[in-house]
Amino acid sequence: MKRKYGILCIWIAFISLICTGHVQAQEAENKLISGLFSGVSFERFAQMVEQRSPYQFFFDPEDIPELSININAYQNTLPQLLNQLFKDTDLHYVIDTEGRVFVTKGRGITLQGAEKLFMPATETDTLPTGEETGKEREERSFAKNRLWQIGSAARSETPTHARLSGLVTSFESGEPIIGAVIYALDHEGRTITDDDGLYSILLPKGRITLVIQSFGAYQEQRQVNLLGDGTLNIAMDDNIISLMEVTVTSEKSANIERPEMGLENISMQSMRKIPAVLGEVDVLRAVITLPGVQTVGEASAGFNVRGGAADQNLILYNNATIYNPTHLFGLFSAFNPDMMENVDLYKAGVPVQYGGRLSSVLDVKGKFGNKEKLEGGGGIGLMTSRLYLEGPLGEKTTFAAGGRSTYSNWLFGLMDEESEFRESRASFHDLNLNMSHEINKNNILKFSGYWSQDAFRFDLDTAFAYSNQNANLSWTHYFNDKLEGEMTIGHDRYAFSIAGELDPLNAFDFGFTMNQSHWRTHFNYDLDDAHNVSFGMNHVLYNLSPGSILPQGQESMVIPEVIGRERGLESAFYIGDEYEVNSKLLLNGGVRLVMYNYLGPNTVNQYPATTIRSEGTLIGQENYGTGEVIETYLGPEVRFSARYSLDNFTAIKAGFNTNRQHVNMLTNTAAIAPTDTWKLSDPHIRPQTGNQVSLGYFKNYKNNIIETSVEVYYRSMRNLVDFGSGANLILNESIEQDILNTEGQAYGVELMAKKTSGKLNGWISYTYSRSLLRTSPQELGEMINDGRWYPSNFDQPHDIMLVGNWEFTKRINTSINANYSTGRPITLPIAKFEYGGAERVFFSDRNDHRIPDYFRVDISFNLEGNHKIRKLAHASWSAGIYNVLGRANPYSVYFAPTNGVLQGYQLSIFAQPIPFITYNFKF
Amino acid sequence: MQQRITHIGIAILLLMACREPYEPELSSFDHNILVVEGYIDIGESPTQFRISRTNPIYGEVASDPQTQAQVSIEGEREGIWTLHNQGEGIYTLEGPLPQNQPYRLTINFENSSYASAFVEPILTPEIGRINFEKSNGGMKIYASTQGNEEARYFLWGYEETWIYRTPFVSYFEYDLELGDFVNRDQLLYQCWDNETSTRVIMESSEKYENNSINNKELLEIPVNSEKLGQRYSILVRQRAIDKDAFAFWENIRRNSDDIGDIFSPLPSFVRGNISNLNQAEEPVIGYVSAGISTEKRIFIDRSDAHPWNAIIPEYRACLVDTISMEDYERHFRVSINVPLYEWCGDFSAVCTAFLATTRNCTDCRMRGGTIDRPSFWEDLSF
Repeated sequence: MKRKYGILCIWIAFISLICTGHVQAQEAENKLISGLFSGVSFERFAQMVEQRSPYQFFFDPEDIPELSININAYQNTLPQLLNQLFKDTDLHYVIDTEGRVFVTKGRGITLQGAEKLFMPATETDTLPTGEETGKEREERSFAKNRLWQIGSAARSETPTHARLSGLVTSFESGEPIIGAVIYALDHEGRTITDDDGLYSILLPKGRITLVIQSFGAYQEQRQVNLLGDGTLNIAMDDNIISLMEVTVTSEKSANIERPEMGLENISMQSMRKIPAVLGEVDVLRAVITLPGVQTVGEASAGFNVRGGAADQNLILYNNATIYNPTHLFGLFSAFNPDMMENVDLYKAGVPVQYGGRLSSVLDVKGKFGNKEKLEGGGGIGLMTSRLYLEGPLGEKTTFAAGGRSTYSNWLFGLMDEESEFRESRASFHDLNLNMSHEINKNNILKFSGYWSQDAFRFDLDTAFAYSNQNANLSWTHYFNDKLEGEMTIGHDRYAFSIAGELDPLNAFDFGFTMNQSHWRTHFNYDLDDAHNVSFGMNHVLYNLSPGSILPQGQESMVIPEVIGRERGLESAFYIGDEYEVNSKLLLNGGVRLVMYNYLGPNTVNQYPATTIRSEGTLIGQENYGTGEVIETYLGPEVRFSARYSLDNFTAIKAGFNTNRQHVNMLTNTAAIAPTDTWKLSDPHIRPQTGNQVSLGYFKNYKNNIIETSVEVYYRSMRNLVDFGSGANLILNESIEQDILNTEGQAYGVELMAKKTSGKLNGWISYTYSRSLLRTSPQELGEMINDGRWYPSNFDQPHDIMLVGNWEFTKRINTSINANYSTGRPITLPIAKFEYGGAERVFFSDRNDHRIPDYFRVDISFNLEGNHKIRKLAHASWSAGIYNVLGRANPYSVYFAPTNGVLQGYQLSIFAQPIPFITYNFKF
Repeated sequence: MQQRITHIGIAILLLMACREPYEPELSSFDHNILVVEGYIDIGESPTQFRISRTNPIYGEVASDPQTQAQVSIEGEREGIWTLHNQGEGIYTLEGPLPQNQPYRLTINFENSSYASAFVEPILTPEIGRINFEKSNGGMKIYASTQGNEEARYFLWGYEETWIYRTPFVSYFEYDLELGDFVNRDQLLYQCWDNETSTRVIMESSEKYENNSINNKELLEIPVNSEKLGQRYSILVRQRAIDKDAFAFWENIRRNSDDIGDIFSPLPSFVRGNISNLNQAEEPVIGYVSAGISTEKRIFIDRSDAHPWNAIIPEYRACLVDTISMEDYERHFRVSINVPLYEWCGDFSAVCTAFLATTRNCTDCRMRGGTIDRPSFWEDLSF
């Protein structure tokens, strides 16, 4: 019986581990071996030894191709034989207590690590205790035991202390490591590396042991003789560590340490373990597993954070605003998983540099390529494939490029000729290019480009298409040790179109375009140990074409109609400070002053001040010239959060923040649909404003392995956009007549328990939340539900989420994802009557009923290839079933007359279990 | 395998993957809502209310008239007037009411009582002008009026009346007893038909200079409609209402458009100003307004619409048959056929047959019209 690290054999290996692990777990060390091994290959030798003894061999045959064995053994121990065999080679071996023999080339492996790696799956999960980590730490520090002389005594911040700063990168990829904790053994004070992997810490002069703790639970140490201020860049070997990485890092110690509330960080590693439709690692699907984040249905990748609408989330990809973050009506998120470095979701405590949306900020950080070597990877699934490449371009430049595409169209072609979907087509692709160039030590230029395109149609008649296009350039400049600045300019474009083609007389082209140019300037100033000040300004120039319909072709009789363009300038100036009052109390506060100008050229409808806005009350129109300021809104935004640590494992946090939003999505679905248009705030539609207070209690157990939290929040929102009954949103030149000024409130409590590492990890969360709207009492028009509070489209009070991973071995893991939530509210037609000479339908109060509850369970298996550093490609498989129970969760309910009688229909998107499999590779 | 992949494809990609009938459970209360429609007219015109209840959404009949109600009008300062039950849920009151006080409507059932809010009567200005104009082959009819400080929101309704004719005129009928043809007492070739507005037509005078509304489109008579085949009349009724009523009607108007597909909004409903006196939260549909409504009638002759080719689809298949003498009994007795003229051959003096056609083609009443001339009808005068 022979096993190897090969990809294909991994299943066999896995099965035999389970089957044989126990039987052979006997004392193997002293088994003696006899026999003549003459001219056999090492593979054959291993096989023979395995037949005669309980030993098992683990090796890569490629490591030992040329070795021919000529040995006559008589009552020899295996170490004797192997020592003999490997005498003149660079092969190393190690034998563990279970009788497993690991043969490696080049460098030996440490058994303490390996032991855990190959623990039989039936072993109960053992959590590393403090003692164990202490032991490991010592061993590793031994390997890294070189004394680093830093600085000169002539230059230091204080006579006794000096400032040490530098960059922490991954040894493997060259990418900066974000959020690593750095401290000196036996000394006060610690710091965390920032988004660029940079750190800065004030330490006592002299010999110290510097500890760098990455969130992967692995530590690196450096012996430092600190003479004065200086720089120490540290490369950490995170490749092997990633094996032990926890499911969701959520900034492990940051849970307690950071002042922000409601910050969720998701590592790519954890995202890979969440079962997704069609095996694609999906940011948005990962995001909606977090407490306080909900979605209204499957084919809607828009999400709702703490009772906010889908358009109240600022979705950033390397500083670019992504207006439609989905592909294929929401089945896939628009982000290529290979191109992502890190994802942060701010549910509350939005940092002062972000603004423009009410609910949340989803900050997706893309890769800029590693500095060490050219690497690539990709994945092949049933419907999509993707590929990426990253690496250095010369000494100073790195790049990362990636693309995804779908080939789902062939599926439709296979359908029966009678099928009504035979003429359906759906396809998408997206492309990413990120580059980073280090001009010199103090100046870095970064370019980030993104392009996505979707096209689909359900029949020959009508074709839909939408596209995101984003590009920006940023320049980071380090003025000195303390001051760092970043300037970004960029342009974002989102457009969709609908083409009706079948009938030449009625052929049309409908289009919507949102263009925004942005200029961001952000500074970070390390005032002293206690204060970290950030300030800067953002400018966004919106240029929106709300809709146009144009005839297509010579014969078309369609009357062209173009709704006038809208322009707006949003400028924000901000300053914020993170103030560490003492080791227990950390404050973070800031203020943004936001000015919004609605700009000409435009024509604005005029209504008498005290009347409802309707077709009947329109007085006239006023024209404004180019660049003329039609309306200005000015207001401050406040951001404040505080953390008080009760002890090392317990913290209380509180936060208050206000936000303003000047773009409104016009939608009558709860999700983001490809036909949703946007509208700028104007003289009739005031900017949305909102504030949130939140309070949280965080407690970690078992050395931060178990994190628990309780968060409560209350939000109130004003000037929201809701629509009067029967509003028409597309090509509506006087949309203000249909918009009702609405106020909202949302509140909830989020309970979460998370186990971050171990064989069994994952989290369970329960959220009780309400999201209510009310037509503003000042509104002159229709009062929805007589002006009472009513649930918003995405009010789903109860939400339970379970994400669990079980690691059979470090390479094989299985995960389960279960979600229950209350069905979302809808308005039902409940009766009919005659009025005004015709038959009318009576609707229930707005959102007075609910669609049936939602419940879904997914499972997936992930198989990693081996973890040897030198090999051609690292491969992994991911397979699973989405909606295992096959429950037909209704996505939407609608009513249509059938034979003169109104009939309701419920629509489910994934009514059956959907199997998926994807092959991923890395080279 | 191919089949299987296809199935996956269907399931994955198509929004229409699974569409099931959905009938939410609705309590019986839900489809039994009181509906009140009408206008307290304090002028010469009669006040009329229609009281009904809603019917289940999945049923076939839209309305459930309430015939057992006690309906009255109360003045805020003085007077209670009881409306007369006309059956079928219609309640009316003739004669003017005092102008100087607000009114409300009360509706009493055996075990529940409803009342509207008191509404201040609004005196509707006269309809300034009703004019018409041919447009794209159809005929558009407009109203103009002059609003004022008090009357700014307007609601229009209309009743159309028109003459249509059968393609053939029967002057005779077959007398069964005599077994011969006799002259008809009454000719049946010309009928008056009518139709009331079903659209909600509303406008506010606020946006116009001096509150004057010009050429508000009331309706468009479609191309080749029978309505303008002979002579047509429209009675336009104009009512000034208050702002809340305007919002109510605006809602009714919007709700009437089709209700949709997946992406269309599910609208809600504005209830109005009527409530259950014992149970304020019970929904009641309807808005009671009060005031004096004004009316104006105009006539449009076919010559005004010239050229106008009125087409009545039912009459396109009308043919003339020849019935020979021996078949008279058989054909005319059972009234399938209606006699037109006697046929006497080309040169013969002996008449041997009768030209006939079907009853549908000679009796205009078969299409729902009436041969009784309406009292208001004015013939074209030269």
